[in-house]
Formats: sequence, structure tokens, C-alpha cells
Amino acid sequence: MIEDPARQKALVESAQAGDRAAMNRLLETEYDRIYAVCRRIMGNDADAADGCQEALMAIVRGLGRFDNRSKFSTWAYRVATNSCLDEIRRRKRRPVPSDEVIDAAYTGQSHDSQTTDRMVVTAALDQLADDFRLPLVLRDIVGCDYSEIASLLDIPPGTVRSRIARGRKHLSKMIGNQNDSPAVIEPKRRLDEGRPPLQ
Amino acid sequence: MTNNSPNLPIEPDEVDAIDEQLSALADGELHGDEMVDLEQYAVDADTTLENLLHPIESVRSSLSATLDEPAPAANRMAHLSAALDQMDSPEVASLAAARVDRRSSEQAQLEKSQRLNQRLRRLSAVAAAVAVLGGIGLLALQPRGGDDTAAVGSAESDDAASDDGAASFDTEAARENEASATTTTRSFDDDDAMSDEDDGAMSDDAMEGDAMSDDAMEEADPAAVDLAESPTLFSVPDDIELQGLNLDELAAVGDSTVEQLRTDAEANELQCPVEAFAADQNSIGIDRAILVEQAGELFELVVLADEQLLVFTIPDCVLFD
Repeated sequence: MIEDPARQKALVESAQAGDRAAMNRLLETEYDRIYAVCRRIMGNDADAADGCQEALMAIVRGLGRFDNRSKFSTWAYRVATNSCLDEIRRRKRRPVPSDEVIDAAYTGQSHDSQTTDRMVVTAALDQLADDFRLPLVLRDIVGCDYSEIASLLDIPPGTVRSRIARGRKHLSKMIGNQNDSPAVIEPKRRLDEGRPPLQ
Repeated sequence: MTNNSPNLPIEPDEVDAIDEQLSALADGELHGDEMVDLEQYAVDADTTLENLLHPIESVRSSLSATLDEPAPAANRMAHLSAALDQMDSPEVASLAAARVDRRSSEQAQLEKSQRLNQRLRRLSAVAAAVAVLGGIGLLALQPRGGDDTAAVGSAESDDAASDDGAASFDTEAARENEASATTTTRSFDDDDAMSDEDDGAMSDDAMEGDAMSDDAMEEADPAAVDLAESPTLFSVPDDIELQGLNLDELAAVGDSTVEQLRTDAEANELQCPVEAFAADQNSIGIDRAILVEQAGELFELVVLADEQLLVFTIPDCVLFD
């Protein structure tokens, strides 16, 4: 549940003063979204769990420096983003796409359409190389502008723009194909066999 | 570049300039000539930018919707617990303690400011009393006649306040004044114009801008300068007529000016030490006060708890009681 701004500000101030219950409330409120950010950045569930853990600890450690000028959630997502990017740099390896998610997404069983759509998007996103996935996530999920993304990823703004466009084009085709004709798509085989042809 | 090997991440194909521009447009990051080009492209393609943007907007909304996906419950409690444990780390604990200290300080400042504002809001209610007290003070002066003007002359003029002027307010007071020769404030009381407490209330140094302490207000300073020899210590405009104050003219200065005065006083930037001292109202028991603007001059009339009346000008001061 999202707190109203005044309530959230009060919680932040209490947490900054050392109130454990307030801190717990803040983290609980934002946990799902922080995890979601980490999940999209890290690219798989296992690494997302680690990234989320690091992110939450970083939020607690850094809350004393949060000045309440932006929303807590916005600030927390950025802290989470940085934590996850650090984690990726530390690991220096590409997360493995989550087969379970892809399977579940395409079988579509026991999920409503909204959930299935999210899983399809997540699966498609997971297939993208970090160079394309990260700018997309930072832009469309975290809400960073191009210059922020360029700074976070240490690439030129023009490259950010290009990679976001390419990533979107690819996702658009993936999602569009799935929505148009789910039965035709066999994502795991396609993943294993290579990228689906772009029109 | 496309990866065709199993399990390798996909690098999407290059996109043309139009796709890239549309993507940037969706993000509000397209400017200048490119925008014109894109609009022309839409016209040439017999469509609209909205139609061209539709697939991109669809992807954007799909991506942002993934933020609402519930997190797995498995690690939730462990994650939260581990994060909360960070609060016990010295770094976080010290930050929290520092923040609490700062909040306390800020709260104290706020309360002080609120007290000042409350006091000023009460001014209109006591304005009449202040004027009367001032009038009494003036009436006490008038019988001693013609040298008032000289006595209260310009602070910048060495000639403004003569020995005669100092004595003319009150014969007894002047006698005491000359005898003690230590005061830097001025009393207009008929009976005991210059009490011991008042003597030395402002030392020479204090008049030059140092903030005064309680002790300085209450203890005679044997080293203080001779009143008669230091006429520039006093500055009451020649034309001040407290009994003639129009109540409608009282408090003609807004709160912002008051606050600025306070700020300046607290920063010890005022030349008048009493002003600076009075800003700390708790230390001398200010009961009520009012700002008066008269003939382009700003005065602050302050009634102390012991019914003394302080009239402050900037940069000089005078004390009635």
C-alpha cells in the first residue's frame, strides 16, 4: 500500500531519528516495487533477491542523508538501482534468464491476463543484453532521464537514446507477437535458437 | 548485432533514425530540428505522431506495469530484518543521533521565533499602554525644558548631547548621573532616574556593538565612560514625541522587518547592543513591545516586566523607566 505523502514524510523523519518501526513500515510499503526494480535490473530471480537485499540495506544506511525533497519512493528506487548496478559490476557476469518465468508466462495457466502480460514483458526483458535492458529499465521503470542514465551507466547520452530505441523496438515486436498470436510463440525454443526475426 | 547462440542475451537490431526519434519523443527528449523532421515524416506517411508513437507507448506502459508485480514472499521477512539490523550500525546510529540533535535545535529556534511573533501580535492590544507610559516619560521631561533637544541630538554629532542636556532631563537624575558618571543608558524617572542597576547598563564596548549579557545590564561598570563626556552614546531624534503618537501609526512596520531586526540583532550586526540584547527577550523579561515608525524613523518600544520602557533606535538606544 502506498502511503500518502504527509504520512510518508513523517515516517521518514521518524526513521531518520532511529525509529525502527517507522523504518520497517517504510521498507514494507516499498518492498514490492524495490524488488521489482531489482528484478528488472538484475534479470533473474536469484540475483534479484541478492540485489534487493543489498538495496534495502543501502536504503537504511543512506536514509540519514535523504533530504525529503523528493518522494521517498523515488529516492529508494534510485538507491536500489545503484545497488543493483554495483552488484552487476561486482559479479561481472550476465544473469541467466529465468526459464520458470518464461514457461509460466507462455503457458498462461493460473494467471490472470494482467499477470501474464507482466510475465511476458519480464521474460522478454530478461532476454535483452544488459546494454539494452538496463537503459530501458532505468527509463521506463525507475524513471530516470537520459542524462541520469548516461551518468549511471557511464555511456554517452546519444548511446542511451539509441539503446532505448532498439530495446523498445525489440520488446514491441516480442510483446506484439505474443498478444497477436500466443500459440505461435515458443519462447524457450526461440530463445535457444536465437532472436526472432524483426520485421 | 544479433546473438544466435543459445542462452546468450539478445542485442536488438539497429533501428532507423525515425524509430530512434520517436522513442526519444516519447521520453520528452527530442528537441529542435529533429522534431520538425519527425512531424514532416508523419505528414508524408499520411499519419499522425500519435499513431507512430502508439507501439512505443504500449511498450512503456507494459514495462512500467511490471513495477506492480508482487515480490516473492519467500525472502521478504529475511530481507526486511537484515535491512533493519543496519540501523544498529554505528554509521546509521550516529547519523540518527545527529539528526535528532539538529531537530531539537531547529525546534528551539522555531519556538523562539513563534514566541517573538506572538509577542508582536499582542502589541496592538498594549499599544495604548505603551503610548501612555511614553507620554508620562515625556511629560516628566518637559518641565525640565529647553535643553531636551540638545540632550537627545544626533548620535553622529559630538555636540548633540551636552552636559546640560544630560542634566536637563531630571535634576536629580542628572546629579546622580554626573556623580556616578558611569551610565550608558538614560533614565527619565523623576525620583530615581539612574538606579544602580541602570548604571553601567551598557559599557562603551557594548555600545560599539558587542552583545550585552545580563550581568552587563545589572552591574555597574566603574570603568564606564562619563555620560557627559560621551554624548554620542545617546540618540533620540529631536522630534520624538511619544505622547503624540497616533496609535494608527503604530506597528506600521511588517513582521518581516521585525524578523529582520531580530535576525540582525541575533547576528550581532546591529550597532546598538541593547537591540541585540533585547532580541533575547527571555534574559531581560520583555513584557511587550511595539514597533513605531515616526517621521521616517523606526523605533521599538519595549516594556519590560518591571515596567521600564525601552526605546530602541538603530543604531543607538535610550532607556526610559
